[in-house]
Amino acid sequence: MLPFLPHATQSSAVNGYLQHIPNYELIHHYSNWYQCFDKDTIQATLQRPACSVWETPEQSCIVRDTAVKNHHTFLLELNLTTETCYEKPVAIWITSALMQRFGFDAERLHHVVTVTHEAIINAVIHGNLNIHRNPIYTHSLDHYYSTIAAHMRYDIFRNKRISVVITLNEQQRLSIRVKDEGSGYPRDVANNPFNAGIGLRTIHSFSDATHVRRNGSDIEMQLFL
Amino acid sequence: MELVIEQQPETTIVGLTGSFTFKDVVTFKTILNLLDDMRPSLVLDVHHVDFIDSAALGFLLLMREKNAELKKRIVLRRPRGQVLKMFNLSRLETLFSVEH
Repeated sequence: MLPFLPHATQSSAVNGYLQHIPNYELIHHYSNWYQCFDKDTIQATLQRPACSVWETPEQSCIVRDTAVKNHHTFLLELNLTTETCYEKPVAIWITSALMQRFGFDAERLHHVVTVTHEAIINAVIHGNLNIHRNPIYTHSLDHYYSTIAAHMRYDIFRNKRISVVITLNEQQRLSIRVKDEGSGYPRDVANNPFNAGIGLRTIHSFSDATHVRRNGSDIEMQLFL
Repeated sequence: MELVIEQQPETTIVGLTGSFTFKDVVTFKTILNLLDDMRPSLVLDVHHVDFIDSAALGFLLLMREKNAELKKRIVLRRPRGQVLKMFNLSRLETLFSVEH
């Protein structure tokens, strides 16, 4: 069971969003981000019917179901630190919770979980940690992983934010948008899957449409379910 | 990721279970070390792997590079689901022996 803590003052991380959300429900405020983000929390948040939020001083999760003139849209917005995205299988948790709620077809689920995972890991490694070397080319796993560990020791890297916004509309179009605080890829890589690494090529192949902005530090993938 | 190693006279069989991702650096290193034994073939049984990412695929390519001089036969056994899709996307069957 999660260590649910009493509600407290809303953090600045969430305040900006709340003013745009009528009738939100603040589910939990935690003092420690590492305790609160797990599979059960995500699953429980997604089962809420209308609009709900959980937050920590550093991170937040917003779920919104909106219906305007019979047009229904579901939105899940996560603002997470680089450390959370590196340490935890965020994409697997999100997509399994989405599947529980919406019942994706298993074939399509493979695509959703893969592109979400690849985009988040690209945001961590190539975006916020600013590591562009690849162990396939350096032939050294040790060097690659020790560089990651070295960067993760600094707050300036591990506390950078990654935003994951997932929307699902009535036409069963799923949009997954992942943004990081890095500087992106070289221009010829960001927009051309043939110049990209395996991760970015996978994203282009498994999505029905891909929109790359800010040289890849903002990527949106669309899949028709 | 769970890993079970079975060493037979001519073959080392590595059974993998769970998600095989960039976090599995210990598994990566263990498998790379197995390339150095004297057995002529190495089988990675991925039937119980339910998710693989691009970093793990990259590791397989790195393993192939390392094996270029060793000339060991590497077999990827029984991929399914998302793992099979990723193998097909990366055309791994052209680089490894894939047993279904």
